[in-house]
Amino acid sequence: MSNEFLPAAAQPVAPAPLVPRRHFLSSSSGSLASIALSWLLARESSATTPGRVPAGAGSGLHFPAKAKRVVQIFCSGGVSHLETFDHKPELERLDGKSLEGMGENLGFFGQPGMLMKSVYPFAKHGESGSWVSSLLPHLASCADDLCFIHSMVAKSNNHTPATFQMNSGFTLNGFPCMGAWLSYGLGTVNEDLPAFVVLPDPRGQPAGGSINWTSGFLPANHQGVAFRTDGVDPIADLRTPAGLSPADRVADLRLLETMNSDFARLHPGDTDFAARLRSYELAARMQVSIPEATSFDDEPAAVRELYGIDDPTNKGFSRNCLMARRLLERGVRFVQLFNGGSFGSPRINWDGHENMQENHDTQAATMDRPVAALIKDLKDRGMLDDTLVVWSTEFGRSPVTQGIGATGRDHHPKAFTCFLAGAGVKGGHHHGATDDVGYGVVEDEVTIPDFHATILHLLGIDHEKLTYYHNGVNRRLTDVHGRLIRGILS
Amino acid sequence: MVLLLSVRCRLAIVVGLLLPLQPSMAADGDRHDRARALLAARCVECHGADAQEGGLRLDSRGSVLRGGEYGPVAIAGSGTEGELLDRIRSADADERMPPTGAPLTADEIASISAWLADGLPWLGAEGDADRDPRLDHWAWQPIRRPDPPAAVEAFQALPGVEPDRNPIDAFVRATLAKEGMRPTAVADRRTLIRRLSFDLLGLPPTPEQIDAFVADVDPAAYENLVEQMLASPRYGERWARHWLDVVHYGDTHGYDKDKQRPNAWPYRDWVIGALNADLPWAQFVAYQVAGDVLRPDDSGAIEATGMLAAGPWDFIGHVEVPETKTDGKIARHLDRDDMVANTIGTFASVTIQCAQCHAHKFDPVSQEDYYSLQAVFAALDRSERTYSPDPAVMQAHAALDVRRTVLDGLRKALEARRADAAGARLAEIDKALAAPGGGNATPAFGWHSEIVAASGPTAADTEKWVQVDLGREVAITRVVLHPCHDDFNAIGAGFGFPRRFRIEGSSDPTFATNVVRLADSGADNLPNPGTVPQVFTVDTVSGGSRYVRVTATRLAQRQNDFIAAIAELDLLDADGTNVARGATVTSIDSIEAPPRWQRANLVDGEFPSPSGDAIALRRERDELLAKVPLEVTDGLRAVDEDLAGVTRQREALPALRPLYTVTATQRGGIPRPIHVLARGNVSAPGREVGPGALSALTMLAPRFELPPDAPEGARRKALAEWLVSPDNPLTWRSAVNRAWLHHFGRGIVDTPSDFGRMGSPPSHAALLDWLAGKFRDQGGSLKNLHRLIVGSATWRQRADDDSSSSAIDSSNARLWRQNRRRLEAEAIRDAVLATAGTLDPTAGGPGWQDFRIEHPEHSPHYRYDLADPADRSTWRRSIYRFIVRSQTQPFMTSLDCADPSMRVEKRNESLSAIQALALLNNGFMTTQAVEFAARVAREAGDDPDAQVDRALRIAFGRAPTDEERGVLVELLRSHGLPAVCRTLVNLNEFTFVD
Repeated sequence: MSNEFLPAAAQPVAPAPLVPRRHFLSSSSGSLASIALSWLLARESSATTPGRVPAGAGSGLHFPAKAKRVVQIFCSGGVSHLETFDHKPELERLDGKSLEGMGENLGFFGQPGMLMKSVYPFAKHGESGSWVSSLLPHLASCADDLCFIHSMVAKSNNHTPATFQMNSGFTLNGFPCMGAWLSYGLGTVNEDLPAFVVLPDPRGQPAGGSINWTSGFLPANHQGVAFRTDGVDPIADLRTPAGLSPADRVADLRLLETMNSDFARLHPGDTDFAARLRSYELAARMQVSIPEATSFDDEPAAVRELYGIDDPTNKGFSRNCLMARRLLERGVRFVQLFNGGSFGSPRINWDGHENMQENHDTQAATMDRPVAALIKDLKDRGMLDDTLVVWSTEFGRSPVTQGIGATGRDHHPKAFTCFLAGAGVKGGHHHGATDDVGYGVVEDEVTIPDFHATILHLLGIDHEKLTYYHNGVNRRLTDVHGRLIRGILS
Repeated sequence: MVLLLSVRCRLAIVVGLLLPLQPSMAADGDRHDRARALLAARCVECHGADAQEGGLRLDSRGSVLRGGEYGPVAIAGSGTEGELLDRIRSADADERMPPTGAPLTADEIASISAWLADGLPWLGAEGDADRDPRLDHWAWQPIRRPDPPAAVEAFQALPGVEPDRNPIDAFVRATLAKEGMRPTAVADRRTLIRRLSFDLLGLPPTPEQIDAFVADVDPAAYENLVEQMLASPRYGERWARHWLDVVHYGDTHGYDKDKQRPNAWPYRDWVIGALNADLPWAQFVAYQVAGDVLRPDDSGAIEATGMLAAGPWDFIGHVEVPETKTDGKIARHLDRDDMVANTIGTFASVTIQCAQCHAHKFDPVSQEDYYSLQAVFAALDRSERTYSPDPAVMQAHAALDVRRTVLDGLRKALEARRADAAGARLAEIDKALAAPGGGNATPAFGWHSEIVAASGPTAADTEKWVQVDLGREVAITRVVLHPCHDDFNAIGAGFGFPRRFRIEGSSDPTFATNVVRLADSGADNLPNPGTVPQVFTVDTVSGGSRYVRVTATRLAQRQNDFIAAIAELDLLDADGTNVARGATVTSIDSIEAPPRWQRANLVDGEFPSPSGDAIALRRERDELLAKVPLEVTDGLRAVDEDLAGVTRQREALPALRPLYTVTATQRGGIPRPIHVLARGNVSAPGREVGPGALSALTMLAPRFELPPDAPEGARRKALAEWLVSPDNPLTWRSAVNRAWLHHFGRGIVDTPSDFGRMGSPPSHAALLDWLAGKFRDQGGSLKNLHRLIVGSATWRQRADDDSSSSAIDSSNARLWRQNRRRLEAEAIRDAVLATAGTLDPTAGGPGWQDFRIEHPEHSPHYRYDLADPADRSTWRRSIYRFIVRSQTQPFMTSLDCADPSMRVEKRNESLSAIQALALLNNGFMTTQAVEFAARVAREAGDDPDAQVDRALRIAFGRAPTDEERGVLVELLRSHGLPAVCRTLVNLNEFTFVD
């Protein structure tokens, strides 16, 4: 048993000195009590307490790390590579023609269709001359910072298994996801905040629900902590219950500390008791640090404008992006942002079966500006140098329409585009390529285990060495696969 | 040079290092050892049990001498000749072996050369030359019945230490003595009863139980206490939870839709009951694999099979993708994989799933073994079935099924004669009547019920109702139902129109009272009416109805599921006015997907127009039917009456209960052909295999020799018999090891679901075999095993770290003391309820739910934050919680509750800030702290000293020290009794058990 929230050095904590019994309620010595007191003060004065600035972050587990933290944007539903980043002039010429000879219709629903050109025009952007469609003008303006992988392939044609694969490496239910592995491997930087925070789309959870941030067989403290951003408390049980005055709570915590310390002293040699005391200290600190980290009160107007905080068309996703930056700044190791929820009518994700333009117009309006703002903001703060930005989706979309004369595209796992940006990767770079119609990969195929192996590498982790024993197997994020994508490393 | 062809091999290092090196035979055997170790490390991955490149194996003396496809590769007695030496010495990198990694050094080559020159000495009988050395691993060996070692004299009179109480102590203490450790003193009675109570019941003892035990002068006081606890129904509730972790039981499917499984719980209740009844282990195991086959008349044996369906299930991959497509094949392959892993991992503690893609890297499990196990389950699909606790009822239902089949056949014959008599025109008319009418004028199609998955024989009989509120009582004279039109699944006209239904009126919106039947569809299923309006004249207009409800009693089938949909409901009063138009519509459910499907569409005046000449066609049809001979018409009427009788008799019988399990009905009991799949790829099937199990257990036949036409169940019966055979060492060791884990916090094998080479070796191998043999030979009684374990001095030791032994064995693998344990999520929650005095002991039945569901029509969202912690229906034991896979319960999850998606052999015991926040602030904790305070006030009166005393005695079973009393009374006076109670349940002493 151990508290993985704690850095190794903090694990064996000596019991606090005995408080003279008579005065324990009025004394402020003892760390839990003093934290509780500071919480009380913070609450009473509404003062913001600055987050504890991360120090000595990320030297890497197996070798020096380029990235100290990661933010992953996951776009649910399957973003079309053909409408965003994979420019296919030949597809324009073949618009309305048959796919025959270039591949078979793999669509999930399998209705016949003809090749369809991108519904958006493409243009070159930045000094790198990267092609980006008119759908994403804000991200296009960041083109020189983005490192595109055009040759991604997924194992499943079905949303949930494919979403699981992007997040956990496995198409099955319940394997630990990447953030949990990072928390397990690297621990936390800021003790006052969780190492792995998830910001689900305010419109709904992704396919598969909270399994996408499970710790699986890893200890529960590595599970992603999902913050809500729609006005209520960011996490469950953060708030001291109504009806309990701050003074009540401080008294509770003082007594807890006193009695638990005594108990630890009576049972020497068991570090669990010290660790448990520590966990209550951290809990008390989180009651201060999380509200502070998730409040935008101190964000200047220019920043709010950059993200589009007050623009209702992004459906609250801009708030998540700004919160991601605040959390990264305060030392959260891995922030995962979901853009788009699961199923429903009307659609709240990128699953453009019926009409590509209508669907992707709506979704891009939520995603483009906030994600571009996040990249620019990180860059302005000098954080892009040691922060890895990962933009991903579960699969691409078919070059043929879903049905004759239709305007939507079906799922397509044989080729899609993701991008990385920031720490350790080349900017304005394009890795891998698809064929003339964007059906299959013809150059430098990248599997999801390859993708994961590379992200771990940038964090100083050898993906073959980060293992955890479970049911007869030393499990890895990358299972028995994964090759480093060397071509994209700067 | 073709021998040892340079097929590029994977690095053999990992496997090689794990192979046991044969011990040295003689002083000069070092070089021989080294040579064999080199072969093991660098060659056998490609030339061994897993793979035989070029037909060659190099893992036994016989196989080296025999050579490969192209002849021998070495000559005994020659250190210079033979292809083996040629290839390892080759200068040509394409030819040289091994093909990967550094070439062998000159020194290494010299060792091999010397070993060959010495005649390839190899330990082991020559007859076993081809034996896979991995078979020597402890787990595959038969259970020995070792005699307990002699008691360690020095430990029999140590101060405070109990003398040996049973043979467990002799085994454990022999190891302690050998390794220079000593046992710890016996725990005091207060500690023992608390430990025993949590171990066996998962609940704290009451202060009264503690007092009675501490004061009990009966020499058998302890044994009596154990018996009392083992007889408690709370015992099964505690131990079933351990079992459900391993089989990953859940009440939803998981994956994206995460639909509920409302009828999974009978399996959970069966486990509890079977443990309470101390069902012999062989039956406990066999019923879960094949209870329906072994004991078809025993409802418990049927419920037991819920184990095979306990894990997650990919609804989309099964329901929305047909088995003919690759994704559908993958889904079903993975479904069988889950059944195989769940069965073999759970009962036999072998990790089998690696062999899905390749022969197991570490254990002698081949792909053929793995796919033979898949073949056992090849006819099965997860779904609901029905059963009854009364075998007579099950038989009566079966007899009615037979009768119905006969009548259906008769009806078909009569219909054919009618068609002959009426002429071909009848069929044309019927077709025309069913043909699509004019489509929908607007996209407002109608009302559409939620979709019922085809999960069992009763799915179509799910009742779906929709009703209107007319705002006043109206006497209805005619009811008109307009069917829908939707091209989904190419159904078109009549989409979703219920096959059977009734129409009722009432003055009560719940239709609990004052219900009058206005019309119904008759006893038989209606054919698809197309878009022809269905008109019903109300026979006797008696009074009026404010509410009119249409209840579908047999749903319309789509491809793989069932629905009810109605475009428009007209209710005509005596003047012929449609009073339903614009009324308020409510329904049991609705997919609410505007504009096409919503409740309001039922009364919006929009419906598909019927084909114009429907009325004329009906008249013509009647004329044709007049030509049909009377005997046919009468015969049809008689058959229909009989069929109605069958329906009535069925309704009169006690209803069958639904159970979520596996069934073979979807495939008519015919197993799918199972092939060995190259790299687990469903598109690369290799040779077909029949049913079987693990060939590593050489004492049992690895393949089940069944006749080709044997029923599906014979395969599972054979697997059940293989598992519970007295000769199967895995099953018995696995069971005693799992029990040991929950008594000590650690198994004798620390990897309870993996006895293979990657797992931990047993900390007490002889004891494991002694226990397994005794358990097996004495009827497989788990309760006897508990008696033995908790009766041992080893179990009764103190948990404190007060011995010099910790310097030798700090992890306490050798059990020089008892382990202190943090309670599991369920035990903490149940202990809080017990402490607060609010625990509702109601046992069994559907799980209680501490969430609200949002968006049930698509993918349900389970919102725990919307539940009310004061809802007393949730104050039951945690074993009865409704377990959701997609959103795990946050409070329980923070306490390391098992993830129901994973097979959990052992809980983690983490301590985190999120856990602390949950224990401090979660509504459950604060609500129960207030209840706890109320209980203390009730039981102790107003005196603060007495209150503090009572609170501590309830929470910890002890009186406070003077110091504790002082600070607690001070807290009580300044912040109230609830503050004291909140604090106590957060203390270490509450959460840890010594």
